[in-house]
Amino acid sequence: MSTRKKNILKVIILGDSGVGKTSLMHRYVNDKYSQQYKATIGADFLTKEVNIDSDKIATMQVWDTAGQERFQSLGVAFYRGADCCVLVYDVTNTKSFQNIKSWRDEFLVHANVSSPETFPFVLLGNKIDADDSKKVVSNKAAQDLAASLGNIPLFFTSAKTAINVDTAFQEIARSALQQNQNDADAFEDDFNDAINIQLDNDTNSCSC
Amino acid sequence: MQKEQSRISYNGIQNGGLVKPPVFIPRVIPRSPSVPSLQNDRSFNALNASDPMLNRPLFEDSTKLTPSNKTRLEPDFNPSPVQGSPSTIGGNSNLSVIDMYGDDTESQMASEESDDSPRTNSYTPINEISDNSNIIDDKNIPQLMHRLSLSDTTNKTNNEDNDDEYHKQPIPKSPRVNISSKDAENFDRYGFKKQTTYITEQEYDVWWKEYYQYCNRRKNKWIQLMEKYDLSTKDESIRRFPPKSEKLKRYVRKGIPAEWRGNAWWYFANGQQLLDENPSTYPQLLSKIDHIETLPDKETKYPDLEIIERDLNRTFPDNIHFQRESFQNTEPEMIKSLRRVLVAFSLYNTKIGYCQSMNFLAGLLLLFLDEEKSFWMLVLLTSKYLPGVHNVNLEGVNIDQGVLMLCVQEYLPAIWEYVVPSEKSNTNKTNLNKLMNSRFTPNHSHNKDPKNEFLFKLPPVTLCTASWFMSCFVGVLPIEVTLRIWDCLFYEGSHFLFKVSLGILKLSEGELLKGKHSNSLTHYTLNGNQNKERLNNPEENEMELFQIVQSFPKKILNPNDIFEKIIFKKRITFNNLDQDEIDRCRKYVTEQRQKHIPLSDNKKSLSHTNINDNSNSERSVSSQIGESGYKSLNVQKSKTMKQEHKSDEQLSGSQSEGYGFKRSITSVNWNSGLKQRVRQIRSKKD
Repeated sequence: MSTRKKNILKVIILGDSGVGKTSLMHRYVNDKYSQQYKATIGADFLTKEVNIDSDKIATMQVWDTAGQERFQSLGVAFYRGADCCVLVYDVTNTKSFQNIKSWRDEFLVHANVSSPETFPFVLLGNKIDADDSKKVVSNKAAQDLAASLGNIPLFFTSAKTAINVDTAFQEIARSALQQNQNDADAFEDDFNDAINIQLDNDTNSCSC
Repeated sequence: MQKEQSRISYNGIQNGGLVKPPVFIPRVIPRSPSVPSLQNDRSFNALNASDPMLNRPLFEDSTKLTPSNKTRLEPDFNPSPVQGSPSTIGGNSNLSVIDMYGDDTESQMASEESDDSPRTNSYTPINEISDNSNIIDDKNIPQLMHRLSLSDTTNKTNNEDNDDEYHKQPIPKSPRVNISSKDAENFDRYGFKKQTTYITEQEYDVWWKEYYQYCNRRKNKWIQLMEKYDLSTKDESIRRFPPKSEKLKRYVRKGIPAEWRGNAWWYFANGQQLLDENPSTYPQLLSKIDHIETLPDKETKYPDLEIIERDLNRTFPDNIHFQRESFQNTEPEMIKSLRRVLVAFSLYNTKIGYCQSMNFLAGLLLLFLDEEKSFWMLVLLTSKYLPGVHNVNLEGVNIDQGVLMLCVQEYLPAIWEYVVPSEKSNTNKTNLNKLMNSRFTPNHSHNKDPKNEFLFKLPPVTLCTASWFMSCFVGVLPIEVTLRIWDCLFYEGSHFLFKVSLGILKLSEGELLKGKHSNSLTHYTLNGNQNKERLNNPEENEMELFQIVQSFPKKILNPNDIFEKIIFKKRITFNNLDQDEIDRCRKYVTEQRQKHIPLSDNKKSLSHTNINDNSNSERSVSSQIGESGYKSLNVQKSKTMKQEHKSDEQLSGSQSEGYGFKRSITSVNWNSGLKQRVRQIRSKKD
């Protein structure tokens, strides 16, 4: 790792359409909130320098994805190399909560992570600024889900009012850095066949 | 007060200051009874006898509309709109909701009254806009036009025969729309906020000062051209355009006058034919929507409804016509129209249903065309121009991105190095770590990768460029640039999207290669020598590339930065791309991808993907539509696909070679191995 100029942490935000992925990203990176975000097509990303545990500096790449299911097929290439996956649901939307598990499974299928059991996920229940009457996902249900997914960290956030967003992303950064270092250690094992195609590639590559 | 002064005189130039924006805050105003209803006006029909659209109400109860229950959207022309209350508005001037040229004009806009019947209001404010100075002849305004929106623009260079009758009607005060909350200055002529994250309002105003003059000049040229063909420009509802020619193409490329855009798109895309053959389709879909609304389990039965609902207010939150605040916090008619078009489409084409990004397509169409036409244009965009792109498996997107990547490899080698960095130069293993995990990394592959793995393991940057195609640049580029592209898209075909994409990438090249990388980049542009050391971290390159590709287009305020600097330049080799080439390339990528999809998926993708694979695809598609209607078109297409697939299998032995572009090889310093392969392919194809 010593040859690395700096750590680049790749973080993917997943969740149903409209749960607030874009808002969370902008709140964290720019500390801004707007009602005027457009639906995300494909993916956007922002970067932010992070200071982890006050002694490690890294660049966090936050990838904001489209929420509609069919876009998953596009995102496959981006899951790879991720250091942390943030799962977001909307506390006022039961379906977005029920879909969390399938987002996680989908991620693991495509991300090709070295050890799925230990890969860091963080669960965010967003929009807690909403009226209590509108909240349909109980904290208990969320805690149970987080526990069942391997005791992953859970935060109740509001991108609108900035509640818990920084705290959550601190944890995300920490998990991502940890994962990033594990990954680097496991580099030799990771040398996969996709690379081999290239290694024997030479000037006589025309197969016909 | 500077602000007040310039608001009154919109000839910004004379103000010596910045050009003030057109004013176009919509306000719904009951139409004056003095405006004749021309629903059955024969003089107009004689002029456009072939156009059934003019006689046929769009929706059942549009016939119920009388002049008095129609509305007109009036702009706020109050000198101090911010402080003004709604009651102070609209007294003396009746300026356009969209003032197309931003000069000292009077214009108007009409729309159907919304309290007539919410469902059938096909409110479409910005379409069918007339240029009053040249066009308006009240007697000739079809009833349809009055249902829709009108905007009369007095073009100061063409205002001799100004028929003022229409806009001299007394304008009642707005009953509904609170415009005092908005400052019209902040919005452009279509109602979009001028200021974006990347462009300040001041930058916009400075640019617009030049550009509106350009628009005026182009408009005059268009009028001259139209007159040459005896096509009236007096009639605000211009429905016919000159036959296709190099000259017309050039005119389209330089921009169709904004107020004719909707009709021009409709005309060039041949939408009328589709509508004529399916006159009851849209009304029936609307009835079906009504029925669905009553179902208790509609959301489980029609899951698209929920996703559509969530995107309605995330389509153009920066456009005044889509904002609740502009309409006293009631749901804007635009939002209702958008909902109907998207839901109707999801019922009409269940293979696509609703795909995010279609909201942007429909939203922009609705600003220029009425609801039913917008619906059919959406049908055309998703079938003829972007086949398969919005399908459930998005395979059409992947194919188009594969095509784009081939083009980048061919025409923009310097950028290609960022897209798919060469392997051997990446000597630092730890830097490689994530790269290896994250995606395929071919070996200096623009000429060493005969298998074209990037076609089925698309490089990450395609996640960004995919959105360019899915939404046809809506929201990607500033609006005036997007509109210029749409002009060409409907006139020239989908290959134009590839040209523009390459153009954007080429323009961003400078930013990408700025300074630090220039030395390391020379090696492959010259001879493809891969042994030189690559100076930077590929991981950072990837990030930089994505960041630039993501944000660069949003800064291109001036359409002519793309058109004059790129599209009009003959020496830029990718300008040779034509529809034939792109269709051939699409076919090639489809074949390549099919070889790498597991068999089960392969079948699925076949049935989902309608690729235009004959050389004149777009034209032939329209003729097929003419013969058999859209539904049977799909059947025909999938049959063709299956046949194609068979022959692909027979050919597969020879298909591991790279794709050969038709014309460009001679103009690019390619390595001879590639040239040779291309020659082989050509001789086989011949």
